[in-house]
Amino acid sequence: MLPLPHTVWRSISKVLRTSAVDSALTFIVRFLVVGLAIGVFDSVQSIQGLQEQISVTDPNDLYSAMSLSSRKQRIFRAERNLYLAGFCFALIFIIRRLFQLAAKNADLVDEIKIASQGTRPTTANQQPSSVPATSGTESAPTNTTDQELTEVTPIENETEASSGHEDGVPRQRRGFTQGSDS
Amino acid sequence: MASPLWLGVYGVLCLELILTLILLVPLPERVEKGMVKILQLPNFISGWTFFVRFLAIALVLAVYDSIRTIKYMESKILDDPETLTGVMANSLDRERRFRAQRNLYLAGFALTLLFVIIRLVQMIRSNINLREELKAISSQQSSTAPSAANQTTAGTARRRN
Repeated sequence: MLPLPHTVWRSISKVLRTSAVDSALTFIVRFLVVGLAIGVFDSVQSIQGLQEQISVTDPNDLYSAMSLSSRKQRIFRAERNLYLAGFCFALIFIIRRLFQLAAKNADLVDEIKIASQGTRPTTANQQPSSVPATSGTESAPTNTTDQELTEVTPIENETEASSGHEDGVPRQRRGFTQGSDS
Repeated sequence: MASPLWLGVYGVLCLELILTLILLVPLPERVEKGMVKILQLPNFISGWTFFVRFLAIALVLAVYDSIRTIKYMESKILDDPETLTGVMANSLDRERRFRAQRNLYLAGFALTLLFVIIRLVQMIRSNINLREELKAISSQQSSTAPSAANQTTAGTARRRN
């Protein structure tokens, strides 16, 4: 319930996603759900049974009047148990949903961080593309493109490391290899 | 006959349970967005805040009242004499104690669910905002990538010339 930082949620979700903890938690949660469902069912059944008994009792009879009090007592007890079991039952699902949402939010924050880091290198890569137009106009084109390639390589490495291209071949490198081939 | 106060608390609890059930189910993004849009309306926020504060105060008072009654009944049960009237009174006191305990769980459950609903709405809202932010960043990336590719092709074309 507390608005904890995303790093805390990330570490909690990491711990929970490990196979040993996950399987143990699943077993415990299933056991609790079944136990609490039985508890709720039992309370509802006893409330219904006691209410039927109360409706049958004769208020003029002294013995019935005494037993009415004890039955009412039992009804309130059963109702208390129903709320207790129902509360625990509902809380299991609420906790599960809260964990899901918190883990999702932490993942989204990570994705946004990676994506925002990825936008910076793409704007930075636009600068080296203008280099060949100014330096390699009259002299031998193959030598200058080789020089440019060595100049650009560190920047490419930076983009690969930061943005994490899935195919492993950034767009700048593709452009230069085409140029040197021609 | 049940008192109107506790019937009201029971009604609030039922309403909260329905709301919680709706929030617990992973709804489609469009429905969630619509819900959040309605919740972000200024008129709705002011009305909602007043209603939540009123409910929270009322439920806290109900919890306090139940705890007080339980304590009073427990002390009374201990003091009851062991005569016939005492035993009958003891039975009645036990009944009242169980009733107070039931009311405590009823009010406590309703109070907890109130905070749970607020937190769930907050988390769903932040989730939607983060998703939109990610979409905006990815669309920005996709729009800048073609321009960078165009610049590189223009550079190679100049070199060929």
